[in-house]
Amino acid sequence: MTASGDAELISRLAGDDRSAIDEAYRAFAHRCKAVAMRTLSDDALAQDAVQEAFLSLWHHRSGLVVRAAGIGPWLVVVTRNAALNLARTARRRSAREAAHAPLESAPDPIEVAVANVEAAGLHDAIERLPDEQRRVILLAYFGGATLAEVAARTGSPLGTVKRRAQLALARLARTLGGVAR
Amino acid sequence: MIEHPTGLLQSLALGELDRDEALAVMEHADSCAECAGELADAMRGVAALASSAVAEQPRSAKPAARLRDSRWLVGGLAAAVLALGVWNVQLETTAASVPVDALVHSHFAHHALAGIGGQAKLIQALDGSWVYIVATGLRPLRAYDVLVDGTKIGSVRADLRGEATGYWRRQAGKISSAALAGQDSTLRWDGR
Repeated sequence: MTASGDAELISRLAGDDRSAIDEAYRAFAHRCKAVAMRTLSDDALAQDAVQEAFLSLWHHRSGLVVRAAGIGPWLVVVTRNAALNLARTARRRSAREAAHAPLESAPDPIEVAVANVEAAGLHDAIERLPDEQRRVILLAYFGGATLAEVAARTGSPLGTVKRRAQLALARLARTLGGVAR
Repeated sequence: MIEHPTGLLQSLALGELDRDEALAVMEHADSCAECAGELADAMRGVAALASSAVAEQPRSAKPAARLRDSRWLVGGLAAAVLALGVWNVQLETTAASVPVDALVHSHFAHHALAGIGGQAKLIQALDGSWVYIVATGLRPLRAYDVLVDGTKIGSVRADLRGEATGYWRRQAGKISSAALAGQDSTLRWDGR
């Protein structure tokens, strides 16, 4: 969707035009579903995450964030967050109910992340980040650590880690932005 | 309303916050230009990462299931418009319908899948009408076929941590064996 099309859609949403949400669904649902599937690997759960994101879009249609981020990035992030929350719930329940013998703990996330960021464009964009920013993104985005856990792991103050995350994400948005629209 | 949750904006964009925390931060940012701008920057970065990964993901051999018809939005939106507080309840209802709830409320059995290259468990309804796979220690990002009694019922892809889960409904019936088969490793349960 073009920037002008996005702006028009945002304007219609803010005006309570319900057909705009249907249009947004047709434009963005497929990508949102793909993002959710990367986290959930379960079609029904991924669809739940997508539906949650679009209902949330309607709820926040008049807010500043949708306008500032653009509908596509906003939906992708909210879908991913919904998927992560569903995955956490599923993991807690399955661990509680199914684990007679605990499964082995996961490997060190940063080692896995460094070894497995295979997509070339993504790899290049991450490689171009300053070392400390790259480490935050690898741990927090790919490794699933919270920023507080990143701070503990790297020995950096939490505020510094958050600043690095912000700078890294802004840089990645510029580098990879064409894909995200 | 919270005062400039600056430290939480990146956490929200990265998916660290639970629903209630995220909602509170978003509500603030929706009416605060300063926080909206910072959150939007972080969102664009995360969306770029997520979209890049999806765009560059190898195509699956099996086409993705079609999206359900978007007409569900009519009902969902009508309820949301009638009462702003209702949508959260609806979402909880949606989330409560996830298959793993069956694990809590149904009688089930589970079996360890043995082999080299990871660990996995198959959880099944006693009547065999659904199965759930949870695995760890797999090769990150690799795809694995799930076989029940020698028949492929689906596949999972390990995440960056080498973990994978999947749930499938099937025709009820006794399950005598199961396997999680990857390119260079297979985990099996042979019914004993």
